[in-house]
Amino acid sequence: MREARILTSEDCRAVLERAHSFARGGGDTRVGILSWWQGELRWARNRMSLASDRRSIRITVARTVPGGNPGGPVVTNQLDDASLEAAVRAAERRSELGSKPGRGLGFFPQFPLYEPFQKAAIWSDATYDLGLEERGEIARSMIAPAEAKGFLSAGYLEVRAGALAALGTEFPELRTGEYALGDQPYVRWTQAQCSTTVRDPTGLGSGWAGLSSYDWARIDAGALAERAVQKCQASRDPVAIEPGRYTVILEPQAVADLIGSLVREFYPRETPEGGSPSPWRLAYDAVLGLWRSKLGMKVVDERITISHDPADPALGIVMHPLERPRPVAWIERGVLTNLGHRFDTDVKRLEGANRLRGATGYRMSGGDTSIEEMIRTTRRGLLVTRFSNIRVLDRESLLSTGLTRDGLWLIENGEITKAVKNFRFTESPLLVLNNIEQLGEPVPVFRPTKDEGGQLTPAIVPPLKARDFSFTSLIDAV
Amino acid sequence: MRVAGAILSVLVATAAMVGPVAGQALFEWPDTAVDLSEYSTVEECLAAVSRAREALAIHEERVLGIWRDTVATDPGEWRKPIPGAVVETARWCAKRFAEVESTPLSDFRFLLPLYVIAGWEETAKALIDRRLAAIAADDEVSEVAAVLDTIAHIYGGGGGDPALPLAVRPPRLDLFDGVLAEYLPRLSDRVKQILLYWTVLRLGSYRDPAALEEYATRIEALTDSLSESERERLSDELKRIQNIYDDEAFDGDRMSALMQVVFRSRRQMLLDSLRHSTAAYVRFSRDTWARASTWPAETYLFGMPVGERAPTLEGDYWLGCGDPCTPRPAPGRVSLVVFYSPGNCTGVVDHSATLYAMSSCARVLVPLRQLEERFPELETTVVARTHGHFSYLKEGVTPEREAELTRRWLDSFGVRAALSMTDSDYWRLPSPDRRRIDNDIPNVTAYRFGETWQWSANRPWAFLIDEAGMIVHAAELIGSDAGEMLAELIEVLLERQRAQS
Repeated sequence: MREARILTSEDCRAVLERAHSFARGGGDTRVGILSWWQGELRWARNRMSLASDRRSIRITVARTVPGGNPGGPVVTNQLDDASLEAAVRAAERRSELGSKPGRGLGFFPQFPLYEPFQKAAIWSDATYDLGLEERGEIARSMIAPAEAKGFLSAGYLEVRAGALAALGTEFPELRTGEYALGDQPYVRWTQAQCSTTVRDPTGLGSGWAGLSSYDWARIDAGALAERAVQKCQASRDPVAIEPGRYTVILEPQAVADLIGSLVREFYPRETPEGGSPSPWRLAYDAVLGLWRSKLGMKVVDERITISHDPADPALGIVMHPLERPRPVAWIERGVLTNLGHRFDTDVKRLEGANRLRGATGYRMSGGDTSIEEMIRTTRRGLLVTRFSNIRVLDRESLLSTGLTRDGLWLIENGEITKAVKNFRFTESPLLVLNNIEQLGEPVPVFRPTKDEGGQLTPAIVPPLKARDFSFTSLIDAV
Repeated sequence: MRVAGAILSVLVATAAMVGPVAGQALFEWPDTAVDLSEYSTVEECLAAVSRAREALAIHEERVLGIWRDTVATDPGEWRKPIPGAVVETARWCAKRFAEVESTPLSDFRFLLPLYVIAGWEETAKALIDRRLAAIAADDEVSEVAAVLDTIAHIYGGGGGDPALPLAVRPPRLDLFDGVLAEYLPRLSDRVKQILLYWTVLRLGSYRDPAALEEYATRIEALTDSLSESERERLSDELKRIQNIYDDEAFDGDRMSALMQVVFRSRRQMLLDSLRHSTAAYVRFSRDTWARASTWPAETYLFGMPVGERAPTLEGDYWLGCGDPCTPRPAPGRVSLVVFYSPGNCTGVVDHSATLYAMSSCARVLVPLRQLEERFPELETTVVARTHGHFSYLKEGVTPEREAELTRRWLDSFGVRAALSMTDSDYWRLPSPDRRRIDNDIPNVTAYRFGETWQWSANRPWAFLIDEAGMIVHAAELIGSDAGEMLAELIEVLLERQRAQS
């Protein structure tokens, strides 16, 4: 049996209780634990360049005094008594420094009990058990097909696991149960990601493929390597064509890249309803004296539904303690039906008493048209592998700009005729989702998390064909 | 020379080895001392002075441990000198800009506050003279007015103007008096003269009443001499300054500055008139308003119902008072009615930081408690409404339960005021929006006097009512400053009540 790479629930509870035993009282001492492990492997020019297997513990201690400032947290990665006590003392000193007596907190009633949610699929033994040697074998198997064709392969493979737990000591009104305000019940998760770029040695062709999931068993490394090689081969010697408006076939990764800004805007609804710029802000209602959002209005093509289910085994969403998990449709048949919101907004104005984060993971509906069929029915257009360097130019229209990368092809009379040089685009995902001609089958895409304690934001999206996509200039990158 | 350097290095290394810290890995603070004379631009100097002032403020806050929003304002605070460290910073840094004749006039609004903070009052005056002398004859009226307005804002503490990056604090409007006396004759436009006086009044809240009354008298004298067209211009200019573009949009939130100006400029006379009667107070207030602003007396404070009979409060639940609790405001007593509900401040805590937010309920309830403690004879009533939840409790929270919890909330701040709680009617926007829209409660409708007095029910509006049930004053009760004007009026009303009994 493999040694424990992260702290167990029992380990965390013992540390939390030990830390709390050092608190002198007279304030709220909150202790949080993040325990993580990460195994990674990087290669470039067909050679391994980095392999690591690291783990760490981050214990955060913060103490607040009623009527005072929280002050900054104190962080340690040592679990012995002396270190924990020193951290608690340092947190107490900090809270004294920042305290502002006289503010008063008032009266708070008992906090409602929140039941734990344990249905989310966020843990995979296949990810947790993937050892250093196995990772090396996988990388070798991904380099080999590229090397065999004389190409250069680069890539990154990472598996990680994390556990989180937190507990405070005071404000009994605010924590009637394990899942009350500010406390984080023990939660553990895994993540895996693999991506590879294959380049032609002349620098004139590039292919990319990648995938991420909480479950390594869902990532087919061999298929990724094969796709990257194939794209590299097909993208060599691109020709320059005029920028302009083209019909585009966006592969699933390109769709996910493009609509990332739109999905982020599903939270919070306080932005449009507070009158701040947002694609969902409608207008100020002078009669009611409030800002109206586009909730209930058709915002994209009626074939589009974007939703998530916290229990979806293909997604893997880590829930927040204050959420009451339920399936949420953000856009349903083209109509904006839900926006994420803060806990207090729900309590004050809506009908429940929970927080609703935005689409941290999502599924986008598709159709049954294959990419081959999309190509066959296109008189003149472009096939896009993915986008990079996207930034939003205007938050209300979501007009964005970015680059095509790692494979762009011209389609003429139903056939791919040549590889073309990359473009800069200037386009809004809202317009693209209103100009859809065909949709394909949704598939998981590459949505990695970079932060050590970060959690997945998985997505399942379809390829699509859209008309009048605006490419504004040629770029030299491959 | 190279040999000497090598020898010196060896000596230093040897000294380090045999010194007391040899063999230890001690952390030493880096040398962060700043050479202010190195600062080459006026912007760097402004930043340095700001940092010095901010550092002192933080230090003082930590040493004293006082959160100023909940303590009474110290009237002497405005007279405290600028801290020595700030003055020294300004002096050291401004040395290279000390030659008034050679400094670019484009830096006028940056240099002037720097000179004042450095204590170089004569240099500041010389800069002003040079700036005003540079105005071409063609631009005489408009530019002189603009420059004097800028100087007033600089000496007056900035006035929140983003174009003035360094505020003179404490303000030095006393220095501006002389400048105004010298240069106002160059300003032939009497409307612009009046507007300058308004600016000085508005910025001069800290000044002694005699200085303010002097300016008020000048305003009234000038206003009385205006032609009809000048009066119209003045009226329009005052509206523009207060961002009032539409007569129907006059509301209480917008005009607190004007109200404060009127009160300050005639403070003693207003209090004396209130000692005589509420009717005299109202009449004098309106006259003062009309003379100073050129607007009709009926527009006094844009419809604030001063002198109107206070409507009797309704409530589905009354808590914290005797049985029976009504009618309130009680005849024969000086009353303070405050519209405030727990939902109007930090009620829902979804993060520990929320507990310490500036929207803390204490900003309203602590000043209210202070007024209650200072004036035990004052009858106080908090008018609240149901919101369908209390803090984060929602399920099973009936209006009765919400009223009980609100009472406990007031008690937790030491507020003894009676609580009038009204069950709100509400409706919801259609799905998927689903937001709750509360209808106005009868008490809010009544105190809006047929919509002639617009005020936001989400803000803590307080109405002061005399023993005869007439409204004397209305103001937002936020922070201790807001309570001060109320306290002065309450004191007079209670004196009057005692004299009558």
